[in-house]
Amino acid sequence: MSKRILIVDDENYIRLLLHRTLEELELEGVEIHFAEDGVVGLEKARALRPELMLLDVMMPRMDGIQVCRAVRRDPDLVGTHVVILTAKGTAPELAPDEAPHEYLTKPFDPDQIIARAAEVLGIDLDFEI
Amino acid sequence: MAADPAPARGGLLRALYLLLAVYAVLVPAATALIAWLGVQGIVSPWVGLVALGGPLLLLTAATVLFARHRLARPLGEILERIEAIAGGQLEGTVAVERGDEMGRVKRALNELAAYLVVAREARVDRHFLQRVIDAMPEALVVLDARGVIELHNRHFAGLLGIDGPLIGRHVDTLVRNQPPGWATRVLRSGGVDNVEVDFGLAPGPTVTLLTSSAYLATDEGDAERTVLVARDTRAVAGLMNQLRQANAGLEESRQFFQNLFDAMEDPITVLAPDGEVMQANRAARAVFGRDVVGRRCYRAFRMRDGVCDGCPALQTYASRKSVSVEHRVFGNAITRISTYPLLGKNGEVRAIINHKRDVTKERQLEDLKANFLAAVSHELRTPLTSLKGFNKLNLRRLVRFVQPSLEAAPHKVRVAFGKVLEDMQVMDSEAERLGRLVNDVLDLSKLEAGKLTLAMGEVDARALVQGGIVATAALWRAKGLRVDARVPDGCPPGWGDADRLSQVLVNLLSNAIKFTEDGHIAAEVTVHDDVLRFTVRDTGKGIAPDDLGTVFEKFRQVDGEGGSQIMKGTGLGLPICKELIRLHDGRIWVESTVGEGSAFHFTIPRADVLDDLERSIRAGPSIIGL
Repeated sequence: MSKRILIVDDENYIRLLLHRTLEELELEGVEIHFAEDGVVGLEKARALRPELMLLDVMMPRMDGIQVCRAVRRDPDLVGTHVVILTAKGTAPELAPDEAPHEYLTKPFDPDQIIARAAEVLGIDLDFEI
Repeated sequence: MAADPAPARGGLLRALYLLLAVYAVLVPAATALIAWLGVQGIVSPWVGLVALGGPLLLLTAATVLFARHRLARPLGEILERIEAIAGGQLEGTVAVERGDEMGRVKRALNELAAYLVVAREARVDRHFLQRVIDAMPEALVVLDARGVIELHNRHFAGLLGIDGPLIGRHVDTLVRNQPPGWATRVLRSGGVDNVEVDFGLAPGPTVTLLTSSAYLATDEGDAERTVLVARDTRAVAGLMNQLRQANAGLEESRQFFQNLFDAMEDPITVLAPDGEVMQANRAARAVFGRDVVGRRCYRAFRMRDGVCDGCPALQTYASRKSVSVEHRVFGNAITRISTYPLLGKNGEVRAIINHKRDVTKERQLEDLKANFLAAVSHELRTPLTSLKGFNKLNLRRLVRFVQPSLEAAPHKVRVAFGKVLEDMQVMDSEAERLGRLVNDVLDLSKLEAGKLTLAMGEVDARALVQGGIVATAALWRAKGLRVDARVPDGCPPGWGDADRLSQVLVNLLSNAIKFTEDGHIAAEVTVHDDVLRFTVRDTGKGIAPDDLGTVFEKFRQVDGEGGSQIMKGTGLGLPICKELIRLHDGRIWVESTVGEGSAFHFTIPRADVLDDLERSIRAGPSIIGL
């Protein structure tokens, strides 16, 4: 079964940017899925059980923090590595069992994102970063 | 002088009478005997004369001697003494040998002399007394039991316009506006205090004297006297006038401040150190009740506020510093209690001003502003992320896929391609800078809104300095600079938010590296009485004296044209440092010499000298030292 990445962000261009950044992974057989708000994001996470989830914080209906909590508390989603994409200094304090596995700050470096994604998914990229 | 208990009454006179009697008997008898003998012819008259005359002569001689011894000599002594006394020679006595009349005269003379000595002394005493009371600046009169003037000083007579003495006059004859018998009543009442009395002796002037009296009892208690002391009201009036004016000024000032106090919209109370409400303005009386003054603060305030937990007044009393605490009351309402110490001369807290303010609207506005800023910065950051990200992706695509295929392309194409890459690098670094600017603006507005919460704790100075040097390693390595850490051994911990202090230190180090082309940079820590001082020293271009004052101001960065330093920051780094250090109760400043370098210093409290109270005041998010 192929590996899955779920990108949850309400901004079209950020989703596109992340897609473009990570599209090289698709050549390695990784599926990239998208959700445009927190509610859809959580539904898709439960349906897809992605290995990696990139979460924006400020989203309509349900923000990234709530999604993160729900995912981290869901026993079916223990295999999901949650990364919150946040602006500097705005990360809220979360209990260890509710916190994301890591934070990446905006504006982010595409090289950094793909490197982290490849590492989390256990994929060797064929180029030097 | 005591009289002789058994005077020889008439001793001298009796002796004289006896002698005269002897003469009276003997002389006619002898004369008759001689005449009879002569008539009878028994004895010749001459013989008889001789026979009788001899004894008579002897008798006469004895009489003369007696008179000389008992009369003339004492009389001489007495006269001599009288002349001496008349000449002022009061000391000395005449010897009293007998208890006869002469003796009594002498004794009386001695007594007289002794009395005169006493009288002279009394006269000297009285003269002295008169001089003393004459020297008094106030008029003084001594009345006897009937109200007759016994003694007065010159000032009294002077006030009445009289030259001579007034002794012997009844005081009622000098008093004008008092009912008859005033003096007697004063005498009987035992004393009056500061009564205005008109004195005057027709046709002289009338003066109003502020008169006080005191009862003067003598040792024997028989002769009662009254002392009147009088002050000229004209002199007193001046003083009284000044006093009245001063009082009026004081009252005006008091009224002014009371009005000012009452005009304050917020409830303000003044608390004694024991918590008693000493004063309350109109708003405070309206909120806490009319009877709030005199009550204990916890009774006066508690029912309405529940402010006793973390009472700011207690903290102010203990720390002698202003304290501000905010409480959420009744749902969303937020009350801020600020206390300020009123210090006495020795620096002790004499009272505490307690200022209550409803800050609900302010806080709502601040929340609104913070939310707005957060929203704006999010909105700014999102396109910025896209711009930067796509630019970076394009750069990578160009480098990885296009560049290799251009190796065979014409020179012009390759040069153009190189320029495209360079320009895209510029776009990237500018996007980076815009991102920092957005972050800094957000940081600064949070700081200014007091929204930034510091996580206070003990801070290891050495770790802080080394962390800062590591964090800026990319910068100083790129320029081939060296950064030295100088932290003394056994440096005590500081008190602060390690992350925020690191931010400050990194900012200062980045600046130092930015403006130093060669030479070296040092990050030092020095230990002072209450604080740790951090210093970042560089050997850079330095800052012109005119610019030293403005480096910590927002958007007032020193620009390159001025010749000193070129900044490519946001211009907000140092203002943020200043705010952060201010929140740490510290100080930040700069020393610089153009061409030699700059030294940026900041201080934070030493954790080992703070007590728990100060820590709590300087720690909590709701408690901000003003």
